[in-house]
Amino acid sequence: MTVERTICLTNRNSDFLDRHMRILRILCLTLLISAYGCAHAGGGGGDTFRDSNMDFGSLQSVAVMPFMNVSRDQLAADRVRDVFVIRLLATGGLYVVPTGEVMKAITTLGISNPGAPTNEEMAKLGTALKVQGIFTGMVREYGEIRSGSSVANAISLSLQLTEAQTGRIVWSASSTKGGIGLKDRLLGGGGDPMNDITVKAVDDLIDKLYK
Amino acid sequence: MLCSCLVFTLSSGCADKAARVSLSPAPPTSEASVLRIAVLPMENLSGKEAPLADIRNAFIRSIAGQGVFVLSDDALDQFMTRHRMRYTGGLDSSTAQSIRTEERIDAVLILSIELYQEGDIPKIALISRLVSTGDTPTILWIKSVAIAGNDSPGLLRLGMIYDPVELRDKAIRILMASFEEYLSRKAAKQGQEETGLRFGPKAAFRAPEAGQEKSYTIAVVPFFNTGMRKDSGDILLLHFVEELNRQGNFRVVEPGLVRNSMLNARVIMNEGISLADADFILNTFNVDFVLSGKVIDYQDTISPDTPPSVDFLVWAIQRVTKKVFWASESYNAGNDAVFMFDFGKVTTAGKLASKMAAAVARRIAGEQDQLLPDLQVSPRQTAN
Repeated sequence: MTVERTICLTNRNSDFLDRHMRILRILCLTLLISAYGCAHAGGGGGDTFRDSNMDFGSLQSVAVMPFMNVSRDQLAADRVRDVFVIRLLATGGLYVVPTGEVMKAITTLGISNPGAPTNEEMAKLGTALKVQGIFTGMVREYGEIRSGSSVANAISLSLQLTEAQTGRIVWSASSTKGGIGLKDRLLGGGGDPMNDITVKAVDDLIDKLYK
Repeated sequence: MLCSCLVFTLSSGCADKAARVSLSPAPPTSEASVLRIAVLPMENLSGKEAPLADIRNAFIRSIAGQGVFVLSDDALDQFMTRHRMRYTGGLDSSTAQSIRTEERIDAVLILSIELYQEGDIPKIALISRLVSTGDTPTILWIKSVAIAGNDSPGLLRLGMIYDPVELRDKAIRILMASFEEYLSRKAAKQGQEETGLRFGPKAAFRAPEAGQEKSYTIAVVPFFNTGMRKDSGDILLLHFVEELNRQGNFRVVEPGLVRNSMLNARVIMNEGISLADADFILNTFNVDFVLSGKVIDYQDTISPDTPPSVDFLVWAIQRVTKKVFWASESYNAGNDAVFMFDFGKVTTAGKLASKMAAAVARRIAGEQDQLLPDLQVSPRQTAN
């Protein structure tokens, strides 16, 4: 009688443990999926190219050319460029030539397409501005995006760093931030302000540059 | 005697850099010990119609009540016609000399209206400054005020101001109180604008080689305006002039002088200041820095529920290194960090710009470590 009772209790304990282990496994799986989703939400993973032969330590001064703009907002390129220039300067790692000086050099050298200068123009700019590197970029998306009834701000940006003297691309990266997330779909609200996601995208690119 | 003392102080200041910086200079008075000033017609930066003559007359009445001689309108009109003077937002050196010799005027009061709004909730923003006449016009006093009828609603909204004239008189009283303090030489160093952390720049660069001098001279050029609001580049310039002046260790060149020299040299800024333009200004005025920037957004109110917003970039170029000494990015809205009962809400773009400019000016002056300890910048910003 006592033995039967003991076996019954053991079986009950075993069932209890199994049930809880199953719940724990489901929870772990949910957490893993959530973590993967969070890591990839907002476009954190952009393509990055880094020339392994380039000595990035030799770069001291750089110029940032006007960005090309394929977004709907006509002022987007200037806005993103301004944020990038200030935040790159704020890192203290590189000296960035003032944008007014860059514009003066573009006018003086007669560069017709400052968003995508040729290798010759790069070399001339490098000499005129006394810089070792030149950043060019493109704003692909800037502003509100819609999906059904949901609205949110988004930015998509790609940058290239070219060695001024050789015209060789030594670094390239892109970043996309913002967009419609689960919260925006469920609760609405329009997402983060444009300024905030611009800063996030620019910081993301600067992080990739310094990695 | 006092006049000659003032001229001597200013001229000797130009020769000696250390002595050149005169902080909150004493009021220049003529031989009869009565300050003689001319009140220029108001500069309208509001982009709208405003009762400029009424506001100016109210100013003149208040100033005359403080025992100051004010040049009559007829005499001022004749002087302006004689010299074909059309710009009233600043003072150039030839006008400053002429008005001193011809009208025996010690200083000129320059008034600018930034915002004038009637309606349910009136708003007004004024900037005034006193500039000495003579060979080298110098800013003697500058003060701005930006108030709205709902600034202090109080219990049961008893503190609301619905009458634009009442609000205008309040604004003039605030300015005149500061002017009176200046005249009585109480305001050797004006009080600091309360900025808190929320109005600080979002990212900033200060050159590591920047010195920690006790005093600097600085020229501020009009900000490049890419925003929708007309004249916001000139408005932000005036806020920076005020806030840099308030720091106590900056001598700011009268903006009228800078404007005139840029016009004479045909300096055109397509997109911010170039090093050649900066070099020209640095050499012309023999200053340590030239400060410029770009206004991206300067919105007062689109609707009563929309808070004001200001967004700008600042660049400062140093004379010694010919390089960027300071660069920053600032953007704020009037309801930033306001969580309940509109406590701490800023109701006008002018007040918001003042606070943001003050935060930048403090950091340029080198006080960033104490005042803005947790500035949101990239972690790589080293001990700049």
